[in-house]
Amino acid sequence: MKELSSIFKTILRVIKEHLDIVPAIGNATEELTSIDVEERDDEIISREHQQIDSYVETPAPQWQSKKIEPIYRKQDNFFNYFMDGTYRHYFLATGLEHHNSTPIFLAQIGASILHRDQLGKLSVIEKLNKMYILLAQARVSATTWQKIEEILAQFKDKNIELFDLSDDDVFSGKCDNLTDLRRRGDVKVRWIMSQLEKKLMIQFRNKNKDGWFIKDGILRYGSFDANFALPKTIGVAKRMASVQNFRFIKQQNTVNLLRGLPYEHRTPVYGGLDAKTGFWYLRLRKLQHLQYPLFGIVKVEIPNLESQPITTELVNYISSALIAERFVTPYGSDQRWHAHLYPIYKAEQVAKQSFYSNDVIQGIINWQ
Amino acid sequence: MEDNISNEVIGRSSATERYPNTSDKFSFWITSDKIVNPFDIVESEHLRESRTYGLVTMLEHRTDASSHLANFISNNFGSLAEEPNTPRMGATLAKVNVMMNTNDIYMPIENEKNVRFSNESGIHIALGIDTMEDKRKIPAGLIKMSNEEEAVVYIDSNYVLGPESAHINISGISGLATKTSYAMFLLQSLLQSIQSEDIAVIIMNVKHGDLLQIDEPPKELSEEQKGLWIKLGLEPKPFDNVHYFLPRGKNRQANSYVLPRNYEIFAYALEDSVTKLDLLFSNIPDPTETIDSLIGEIQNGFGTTQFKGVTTWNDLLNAEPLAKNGQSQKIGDIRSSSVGKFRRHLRRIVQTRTTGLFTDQRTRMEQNLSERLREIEGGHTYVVDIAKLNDTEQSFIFGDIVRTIYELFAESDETFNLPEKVIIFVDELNKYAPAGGKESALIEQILDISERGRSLGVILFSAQQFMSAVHSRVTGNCATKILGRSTSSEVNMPDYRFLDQDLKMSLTRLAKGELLLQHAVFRQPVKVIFPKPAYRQND
Repeated sequence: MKELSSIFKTILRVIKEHLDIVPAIGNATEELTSIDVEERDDEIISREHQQIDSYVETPAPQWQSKKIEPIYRKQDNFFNYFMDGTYRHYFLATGLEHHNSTPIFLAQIGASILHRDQLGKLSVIEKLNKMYILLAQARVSATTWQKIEEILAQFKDKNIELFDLSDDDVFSGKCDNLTDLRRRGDVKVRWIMSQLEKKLMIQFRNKNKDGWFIKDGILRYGSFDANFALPKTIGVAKRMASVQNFRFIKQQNTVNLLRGLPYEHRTPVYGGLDAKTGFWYLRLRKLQHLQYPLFGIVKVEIPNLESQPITTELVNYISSALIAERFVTPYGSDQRWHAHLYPIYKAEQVAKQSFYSNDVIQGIINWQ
Repeated sequence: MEDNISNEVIGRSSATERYPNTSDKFSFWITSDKIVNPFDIVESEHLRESRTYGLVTMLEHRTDASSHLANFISNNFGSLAEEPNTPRMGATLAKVNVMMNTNDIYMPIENEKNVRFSNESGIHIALGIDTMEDKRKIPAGLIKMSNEEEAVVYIDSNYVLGPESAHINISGISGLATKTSYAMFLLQSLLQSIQSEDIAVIIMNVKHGDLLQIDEPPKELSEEQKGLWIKLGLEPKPFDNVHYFLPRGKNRQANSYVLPRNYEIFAYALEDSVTKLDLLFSNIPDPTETIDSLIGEIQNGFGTTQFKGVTTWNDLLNAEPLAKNGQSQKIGDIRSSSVGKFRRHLRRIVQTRTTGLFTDQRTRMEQNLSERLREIEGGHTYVVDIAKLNDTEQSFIFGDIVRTIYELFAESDETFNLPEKVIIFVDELNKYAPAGGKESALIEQILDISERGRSLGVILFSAQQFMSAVHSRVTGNCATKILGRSTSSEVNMPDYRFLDQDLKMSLTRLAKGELLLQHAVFRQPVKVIFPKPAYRQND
């Protein structure tokens, strides 16, 4: 802990030498994250592909929903790997340089992959944790940025890095003089997390090609990165955007499509992002136990690969294995319990376990 | 200190925001394939390469389920048809009471320190046995831990026989043949470990013929039991130099369930009992102390002209000065009605309800017990059978023994050839020194032994079902307490305050032959097993 405190003392000293600092209350204020971030991610990505007009499932379905029977681990331990990423970020200060200003954030980002054995026992197989200082390069002078970059470079081996808040990306969008950088912080941190997840997953899958892999959330295809195109890999999102229109069926939008989806039924697999992916919805839980018709449903995304055709048989099997994942649930511990897969929940917990507590962060951030 | 790195790590200490480790307690999680139970002794790595020893008091399993409802919902709202694809994550935690640290560091155990089972050497360090002089060590049982590690437990004779502290009390529900067996094991252990010629033992046989053949070898003692004796460094053998005293029955024969090979019969004539009349009336309520006053008058007047001609119980009851022509008489300031009450009780005790213990005239074969006990010798064991007697007679005899021995030692000087220590063992102590009971001559006598016997060399080994049923000053003065299985209501009585709440409930689960041993030297109680008696028991 002393070492971390000393590192941040050095970093903050350099920042303070080049920027006038208006510290956050208590030196570091945690930025609270909405539970709808997953829905927001889906919404951002779905903007590129709002009109859904094809199936990618073969043979082409002539039905609107299909009953799925669960296949339990004891019958087939189908899913072996589970990955989730998580983050916690803090507003540290506003840095002023003449008429320009930038918020300064600190983010703790983590991701982990769990393995589940034949007995159902989970173990951590990969874990990654990093800390980032974020500020907008566009709002500070080149010299200031360079000095801050230099000092952060010294601590790269300690997993502490600098990230440009004003850098454009598909998630955060373009940054100009009018962009509210304080609000941008959260999306930017989520973007960084997705990059870390990608790195971790690809590294891992290159080494371990056996077994099916579930990544929490959507796979982020299209402009958002095509590198998740891995076989035996699916993304499972607990919340989904309702901006898409399903033009070729009676129901027009996502809400209409899903509110009538019966218990233990799935939809056909729709083509997403120029048919680079297929996605479908699966109802895990009975509506009578839930407060909202779209609860208890997961959105499942799978890359559309030549080597892995999206057949009804495959999708049924994946769906059957997914339904069995509904027990146990983190009910009482996570508001998204109705659509949460327990091993994914545990992967998130594992990633979070390595985070420093708010007390520690507030202790090491001292602008005085 | 013997290195214990060979014992594998079984878990790591765990301190949380809500459940911190303290100077007195710490917790550790247990790796999934290890079995740990209450009363296991473990050691944790600690600061400056020291080790902290502790006693496991309770285990608990925690999961990430926020409530039982979460588990219900997790099973598809109470469905038994499906089973979890991923079992809920959980950890078993052991709660530990700190016993000692090898460097006297009582800073709390930090998080994630390796925890191991202690080996025998570690257990001895933890209990303070390592600093005991060999000549003071009395084997008191065997600790058997969950990893099959075994350790002989020794108690310190300085805390059993004095001078530091003394007395042993054994509690536990009946029917498990544990309390008496343990007391007899401990006596045998003590006689084999300490200079036995300096110690005399008086044993009260209160049940059947349980203790009337202790000088004979058992018909059968399994190899396993023999092995246990040997493991404890003891020889499985019966008691030596045993004398049996059996009460006289109405037919002038011994009034006992079993007749030992050699025995003497004892009885009480009036002349043997005058100075003990107060003991005879121990169980009689005497709120105005008139009976006590009358006993004083009789004791002062016996042998004088006032009681001329009174030599037997019958004389005392029916002749002057207490009665004349069948009428009770006033004596001194004591009214005739009070004398009448005294006579009624005395008649009941020594004539109408007696089992034959009281006689107007002892024959030459019938011994005066207290006189025989005044000849007590070190290295000898005296068994007094009271199993067939009624409660009043049992109390009287026990009181007589206690008073005789106490006075013998209190009055002794170097001209007496007395053993250094006398141990008196009695079961069902609650009969003689009940909790909340009114003061009586017998209780006073027992309290004298409890509180002052240590300095005189008179030691009480006692047993009863419920410690709470015994006078707290008696049990409070016992430096060693042995607890067998008990009921939950009993262990929640104030007498068990010395036990951690978690350990109390473990008492209700003790198996036959398992005991909890709390000794003055030990920092925590330990669970022990012990071998079956190596003498002949009731066939």
